[in-house]
Amino acid sequence: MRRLYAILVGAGLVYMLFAFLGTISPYGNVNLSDRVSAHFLAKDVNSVDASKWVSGDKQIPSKMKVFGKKGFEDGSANVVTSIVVNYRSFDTLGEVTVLFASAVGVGLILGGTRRMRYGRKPNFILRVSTGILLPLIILFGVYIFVHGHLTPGGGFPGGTVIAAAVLLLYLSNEEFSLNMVVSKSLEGSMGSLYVIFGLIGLAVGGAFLFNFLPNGVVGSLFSAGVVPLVYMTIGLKVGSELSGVVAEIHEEREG
Amino acid sequence: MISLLIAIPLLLAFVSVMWKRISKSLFFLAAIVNLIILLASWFPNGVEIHAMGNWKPPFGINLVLDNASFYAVLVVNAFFFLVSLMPKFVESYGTSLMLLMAAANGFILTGDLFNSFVFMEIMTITAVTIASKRDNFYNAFKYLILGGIAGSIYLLATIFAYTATGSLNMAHVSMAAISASSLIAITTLYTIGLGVEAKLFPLNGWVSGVYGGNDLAPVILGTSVSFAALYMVGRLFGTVFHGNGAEVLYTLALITIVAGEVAALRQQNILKAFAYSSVAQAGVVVAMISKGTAKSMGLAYFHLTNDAVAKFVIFLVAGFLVYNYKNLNGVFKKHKILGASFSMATFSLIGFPLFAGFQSKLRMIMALFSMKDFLFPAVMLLATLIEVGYVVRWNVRLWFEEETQEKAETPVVASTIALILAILLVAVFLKPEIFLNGAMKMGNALADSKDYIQGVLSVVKGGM
Amino acid sequence: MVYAISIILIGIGIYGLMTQKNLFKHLISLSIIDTAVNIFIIATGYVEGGKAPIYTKSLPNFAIGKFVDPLPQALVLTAIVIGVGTLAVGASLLVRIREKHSSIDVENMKGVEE
Repeated sequence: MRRLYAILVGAGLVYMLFAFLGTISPYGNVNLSDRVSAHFLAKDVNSVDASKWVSGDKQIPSKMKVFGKKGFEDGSANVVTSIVVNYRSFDTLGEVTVLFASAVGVGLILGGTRRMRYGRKPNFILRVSTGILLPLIILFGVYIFVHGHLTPGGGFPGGTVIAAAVLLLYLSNEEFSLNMVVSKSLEGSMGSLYVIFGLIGLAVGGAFLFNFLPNGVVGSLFSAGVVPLVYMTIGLKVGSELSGVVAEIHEEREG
Repeated sequence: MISLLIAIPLLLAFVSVMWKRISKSLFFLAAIVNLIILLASWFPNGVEIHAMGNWKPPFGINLVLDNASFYAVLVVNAFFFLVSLMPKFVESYGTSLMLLMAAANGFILTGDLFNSFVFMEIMTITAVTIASKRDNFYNAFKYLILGGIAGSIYLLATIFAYTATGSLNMAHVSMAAISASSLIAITTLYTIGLGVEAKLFPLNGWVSGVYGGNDLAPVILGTSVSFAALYMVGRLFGTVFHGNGAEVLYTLALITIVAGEVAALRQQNILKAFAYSSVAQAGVVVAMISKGTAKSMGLAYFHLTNDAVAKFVIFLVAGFLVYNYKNLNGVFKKHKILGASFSMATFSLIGFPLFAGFQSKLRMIMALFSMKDFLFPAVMLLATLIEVGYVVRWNVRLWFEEETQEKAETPVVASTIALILAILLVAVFLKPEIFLNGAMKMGNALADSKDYIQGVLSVVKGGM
Repeated sequence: MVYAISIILIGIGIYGLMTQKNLFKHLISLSIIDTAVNIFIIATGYVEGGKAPIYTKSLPNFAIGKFVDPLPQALVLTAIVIGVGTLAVGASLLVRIREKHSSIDVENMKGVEE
């Protein structure tokens, strides 16, 4: 009975969504010039007349060379990054906050005090290879978030890779436990730093999260204004945060 | 200025993980600073926007402060302020409450569909954390699952809106010519997506468990968070979609009212009984919003304000009683002030003359009659009859039954707040303008989508 | 096709949520729905023959139709992180549910107050 009901509800929802599919453009057949993202790609948002744009007079940006040039309103070669950390930076602040909220939640819900034991010794290969891999993994994580404005990646993946290194430490050593004071301070200070970047933007440019540094040449390491700085704070924050979650999960209550 | 409403609680929340001991004081600080910022920008009477990072709408994200969002933010922050006055209540949840405050403010102020999704998810996750207080894990988990599905559907709705219009800005979506079939898709998905937070009929299974599981969750989730969610219903269906899809909302809301009241009548646990009553009141508000005129929306939020104030008192008192006494019979003989404020709040709930609820219910029924809608008033009167049943039952039980237990210590701050709010309810009956003016301004701002669109899209430079 | 797959995945997730009795499977179902929605969003941004929206030495020029829509990708990045947050909180709740009710199977849980 329950299964039948579930099938009915599921099928009803699927049917409804299929009916709604007719209202969006077919797969692959999208005209970007109707969407805001054309101007994100062309990095010419400031020169668009917004009131004309919204009333249907879509201004199609002209073809031009972007890579290696300077003087654009946004300097990152990776356009997804320029949306995530510049055009829609406020979403990312929210995203950081979601992760922070869940880390706080995990801490409050689990609230353990003692390191959980697996009850068996980690094997030789794991112990030895951890020592070799650990610096490489951390280096890779740092590489990912430092180059977030140039290549795919950024603060979130980079931070996750760093947290994976901490997880490896937990797996390979029964005695290891993360210094929670350090990780919490890093997490809190990096989170505050992001908000402070936003507030500096408010003070300098009159808008919260304003990009107050020069953009430089698209495609070089030192470019894109605050984007690499923000990604570094996010990377460190996410790294310490997820490491904290890993540590919380490895702790159990007394008795 | 308005971006500080989100930035300050957020900054203090980040700081508070480093100094756990002062998190309660930081919460108080955040609440009071927000209140000061709000009092400084009293009813803007126009549309003020703050373009994040100076990217003009519809390209960047912008915060919108108009009469509607101002009133909503004011009410929400006032409740957070009241909670922050009671540090015993907050315990170690200071950081979560600050995050919830930032998220509720962001959810109300944002002028971007995707951004509102992000804030809704922060609200869900912090609300789940708060709901898990006093080991109420199973119900918190149910809330998480339902909230997660609603979030996904809300995101789907947002992406449908994006493919239909090419941007995520609410003002742009509101003015864009969207085809009728597209509008049906978007509004249906938004109804499901908001249904969980707005406590609409098939999706409100979590409410009794979460509100009935501890003392902090109902006080904050039943007032501030539900106000924020119901504000979004008005913003989306009133301003952005011009009343499209309101029929579905109307039908669901009427079912919600009846189902909620019947469940409340049958419930033996005081917190859960009033949790169901809060479901029913949310139904009343949503049904009123779905009528779509400026007046009906204004009255809806007037009623919601009255209800939220009454519920704050009820949940505060009931939460104290449930966790200090095993048997609730006759406890008000020991706590006369708490009892008096509880009774006043419950009578306001049923709309007894002398209390605020009477003003809002009477006005709503009159307005509905003038719109030639007789079904909704009938449902509302039926709901009121059921409410009388359980309100009288609870009052009799708490005041007059034989008492058995030792007296617990009276919470001084909580009783003072409860009493002040209960007196406020009487004051609103005598002088309804206290809430009505603001609520009517809110209704006008929500119904006037032309003003909203112009206000958002004509401003190119974002000021403080 | 991609649209159809993601919609069917959503249906599977809903079916799982309604039929399964193990709470961890509820969390998995939620995760499936999340992923399905993310696939759907990414698919709405695909442009026939478009490349990843990153300017490199071999792709230095801007032109309409040359890149896929970057905005859905940015949105999905946010949505994924939100999904991870939900998953972490859900998993930790399950740990404590198991401690308190001695099972995470709805039928075997003891002392549950609805």
